[in-house]
Amino acid sequence: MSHFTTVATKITNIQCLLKALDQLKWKYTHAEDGVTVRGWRGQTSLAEVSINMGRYDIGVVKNEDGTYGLQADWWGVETTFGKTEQEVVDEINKAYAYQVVVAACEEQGYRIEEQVQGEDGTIKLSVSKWG
Amino acid sequence: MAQRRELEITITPSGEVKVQVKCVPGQACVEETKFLEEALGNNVKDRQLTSDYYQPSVSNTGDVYNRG
Repeated sequence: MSHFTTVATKITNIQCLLKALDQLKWKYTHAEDGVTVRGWRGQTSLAEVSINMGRYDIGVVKNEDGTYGLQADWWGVETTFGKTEQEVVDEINKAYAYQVVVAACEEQGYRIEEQVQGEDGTIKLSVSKWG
Repeated sequence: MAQRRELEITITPSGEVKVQVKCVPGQACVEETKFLEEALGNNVKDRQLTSDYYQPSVSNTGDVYNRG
């Protein structure tokens, strides 16, 4: 039997997100009651996680529905860190997806048999279990 | 009886996740992608059965998009 599923993934697991940031080797501070996010001209805001991109920070903010979103002065991040908003979002999404997949597979008793990263950065994982 | 369950998971550079389940007929392989769908946000946009539904040896593909 075969089926296709399409899911628009949301960032919901803060621990997996922090592991993703570790994986990217991006420095961050984290506190549930808020850490400072540096924006344009010394302006600051509060977020649950503040990712240090050099002169500017990216804030990880919890939405009302329990998912997390990213907030930043993206122009500032791009001109000082050299990555666009889309590039940053893609990198975080990819690392987050990897951490979620690994954690979820382990929880379900799947063993990672093989892991390959292609030249374009695509990660292929083969997992299996008896059950 | 214990059966071997295999998943092939692809994570693209933009964080899109595709899951393919290798399974045999009669196995509840649709269920096998659900734990990943839930972990990735459980926001299923589309789910469809494909034409190989009745073929004897088939696979099960789930596309999971991680678009923050």
